[in-house]
Amino acid sequence: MKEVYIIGNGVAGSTLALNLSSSENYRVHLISDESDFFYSRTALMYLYMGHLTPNQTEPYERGFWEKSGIHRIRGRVIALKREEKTLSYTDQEGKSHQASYDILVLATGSLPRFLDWPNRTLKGISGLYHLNDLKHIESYTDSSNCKEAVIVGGGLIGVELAEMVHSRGIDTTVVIREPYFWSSVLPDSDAQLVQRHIESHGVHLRTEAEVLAFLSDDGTNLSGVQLQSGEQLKAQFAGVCIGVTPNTGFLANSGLTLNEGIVVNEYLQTNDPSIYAIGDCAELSQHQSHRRAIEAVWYVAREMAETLSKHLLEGNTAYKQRHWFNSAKFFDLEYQTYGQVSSSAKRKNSEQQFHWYTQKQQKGITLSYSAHDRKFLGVNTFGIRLKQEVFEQWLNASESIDTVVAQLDLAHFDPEFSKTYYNDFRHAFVSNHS
Amino acid sequence: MYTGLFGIAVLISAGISNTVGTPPQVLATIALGLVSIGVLGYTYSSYASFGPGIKNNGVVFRSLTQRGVWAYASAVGLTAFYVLLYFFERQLEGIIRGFDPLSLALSGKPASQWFVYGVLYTLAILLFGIKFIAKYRHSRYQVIRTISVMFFQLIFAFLLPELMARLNGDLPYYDLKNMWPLNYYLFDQYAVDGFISAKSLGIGLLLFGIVSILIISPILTYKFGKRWYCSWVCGCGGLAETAGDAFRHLSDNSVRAWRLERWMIHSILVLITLSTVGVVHSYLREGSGQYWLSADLFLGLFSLLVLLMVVLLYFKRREWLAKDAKRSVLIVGAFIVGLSGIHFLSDTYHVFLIPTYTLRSAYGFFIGSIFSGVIGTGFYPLLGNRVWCRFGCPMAAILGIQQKLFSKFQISTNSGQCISCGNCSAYCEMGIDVRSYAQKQQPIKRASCVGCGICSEVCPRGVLRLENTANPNQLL
Repeated sequence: MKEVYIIGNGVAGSTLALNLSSSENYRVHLISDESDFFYSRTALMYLYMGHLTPNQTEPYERGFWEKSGIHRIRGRVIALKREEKTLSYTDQEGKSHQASYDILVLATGSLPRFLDWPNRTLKGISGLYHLNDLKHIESYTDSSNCKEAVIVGGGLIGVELAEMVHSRGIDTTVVIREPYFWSSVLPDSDAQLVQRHIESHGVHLRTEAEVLAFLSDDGTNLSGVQLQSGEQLKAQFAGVCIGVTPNTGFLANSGLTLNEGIVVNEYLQTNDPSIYAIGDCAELSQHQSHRRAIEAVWYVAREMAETLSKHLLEGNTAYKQRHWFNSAKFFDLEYQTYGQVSSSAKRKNSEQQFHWYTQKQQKGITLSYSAHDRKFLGVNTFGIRLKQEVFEQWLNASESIDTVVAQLDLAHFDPEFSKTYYNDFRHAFVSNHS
Repeated sequence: MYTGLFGIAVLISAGISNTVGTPPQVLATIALGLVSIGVLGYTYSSYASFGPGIKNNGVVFRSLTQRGVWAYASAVGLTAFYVLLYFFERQLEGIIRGFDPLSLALSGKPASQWFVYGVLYTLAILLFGIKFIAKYRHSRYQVIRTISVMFFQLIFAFLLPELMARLNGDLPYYDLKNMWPLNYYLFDQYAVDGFISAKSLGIGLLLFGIVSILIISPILTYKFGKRWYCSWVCGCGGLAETAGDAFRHLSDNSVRAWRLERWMIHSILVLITLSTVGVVHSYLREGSGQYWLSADLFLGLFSLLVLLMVVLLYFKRREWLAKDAKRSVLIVGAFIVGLSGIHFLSDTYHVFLIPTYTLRSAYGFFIGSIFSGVIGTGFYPLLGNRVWCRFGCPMAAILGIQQKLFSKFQISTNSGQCISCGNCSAYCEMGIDVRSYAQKQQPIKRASCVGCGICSEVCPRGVLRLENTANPNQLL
């Protein structure tokens, strides 16, 4: 029986642990510094907004973990000795322990990224990733002394944090480097649609703006944010959401190949054959040209865990980046994407895009396709639910954009009685292309 | 909200001070008016300033909606109301008299405590229905569904029975949409005799009652799932969906609760079936010749039907059933058929060896009154809004069996889009752990699902969709 140690009980580590726990070949140890039980990181915002209790964010009942036979350890790994195949960790009381592994899986996730801003350690500044971040945000945004908040960064976490603090009646401004909200990823017109929706909730945006420094009246607590434009925004809370970096600090002297993240091959294996890395902290040494080496999203972490489980249980299973998909909710606006839709800045002439929006510009669909052979490449959809399975079939079959447009109803996934837009969409597409 | 509380206070004081000079109908009108203004005002102030979308901010922080002091206070208040209603209606005399003018106008009779209850119940569904629609106005499914429960409550449960009573005095109170076994007294002797003495209209209604449970309900459940009844038509469901909406996240979604649910709801179904058969059998036997059906033929037919179901399920479609379900089918089947056999052989007076009228009145008291009323509604703020529907309602049990065995209804998941956040499971009023299916990319086909569609609304990634397109099991 092999001893498997998994560091990190997020979706990657926990999914892997559960899959391996049914096997007689492995004894699974799951180490977490953050929480006793796997919780859904994506639900942090719902904890803060009071939609869910902490228990409800846990995807499996606690009794289920007891029955699974997984040895859960609450502790922080501090060192790794690869030659001896041991790791040491400190438990909650600060005592240190040693453990020997046969297989080690690093699923340590990310840390919020910060720049070298002056005063970035003031009280009142936090990212949003860890349960502790949530505790900090909770204390910083106490309604008695927090009236204004600034969110730095216009991405998926930025808009979540904006919605969170805004829900407590705090006047919220989002500072964005790009010309439109998330236009580093979305085509400009899609980004504008999202931006209008966010602004309609009463959140302010500063676009093409960057933070110069954080300000403090008393030297300890945040009082404002200085932008490069010269503008000063009053704020008792600042959320930093300009992205994440892999959490690999304790591995600096381990001899593992580190780049931005922990470099792994197609079997998610590091340069040490008994050590693997999955999820946000893993960096693929080889990847598709239009994809990134680190894709720090829930779905990829889960997919990597499934792949590695299969590899360890059945052998010889390589991780392949499947068709990209992602989803988000910007306040009340749902977003899903399947395949490749480039931002306006990154779009090459070989990629054509067709944008369609409802009359009030509140919902929309963008399809992208290759200019020379009209092959369908991907879709962004806003406020209209579309079925992933159908798009994956179209992508696998390299269907043409014309087929996708003609058969778009097949992907219908909105609730019953919802207004449908497929005819409008088709008319617009045809009149645009004739 | 405070206006509403004040209105309730006026209603209570009307009850206590029925000797004071103010005419009771004036007090009742003022009280209901204040309650209405309170609920509508609360709706306006809560939702008007926000755009369409999910409004669950702060749900788990509030005392009323997270088992705080206010929740206990309202549970005690509601329970006290039910206790008065069931057992001390004389104390309510002052309130009841206030409803006389309305009752006289509708049925021509003075108000009873049940009439008052009906008015309050209907008013609650209408007012909180408006609140529900305002809250979920982004979803046409929710809006249409809520208009449907409001319509059925107002017309079918409230107005029609009153008007029918006016037209034909012999006719027992009959809510057309209330089927046996929810309407467990439908086949009682007084009801049946009432129907029969009301001539063709009454017999028509009786036949409709039989047809609805045996033919209409299976067909509709096959096509749409049990939601056609539980969250579109039913009055208990209507109150749960509207007035109970704020408490839906309190339903226990542990595996333990699920196990308890299966035991309880199916035991109650067996109980009410046996007691109904027993009651029908005994009056068929006493009044033999008076009815065209003989007691023994009736019992024989029933036993045959049970036997047929057991054979079909256990021996032909065993793979559908979980281990405990398999055992239960066999035990219950053997039990019922065995008891009928004993009855035929030994000719005991009591069918099923128990005095069925005693059983029947015990059922009426413990299940029909205490469970469905006091616990089912009084405990909304503590146990969630569908406790009765989930653990007690025999109608839900039958529809659930139909839904599980042969329905095209299911909740589909959108491939790998689930982020396991838990909103679906938390806001499932039936305590289904929706997430456990969604995160495994499985469709949800659960007997208890009433198809309210809230899981699909609260999902931040649009993963869930209610559909009537599943391939149903082939029962035959």
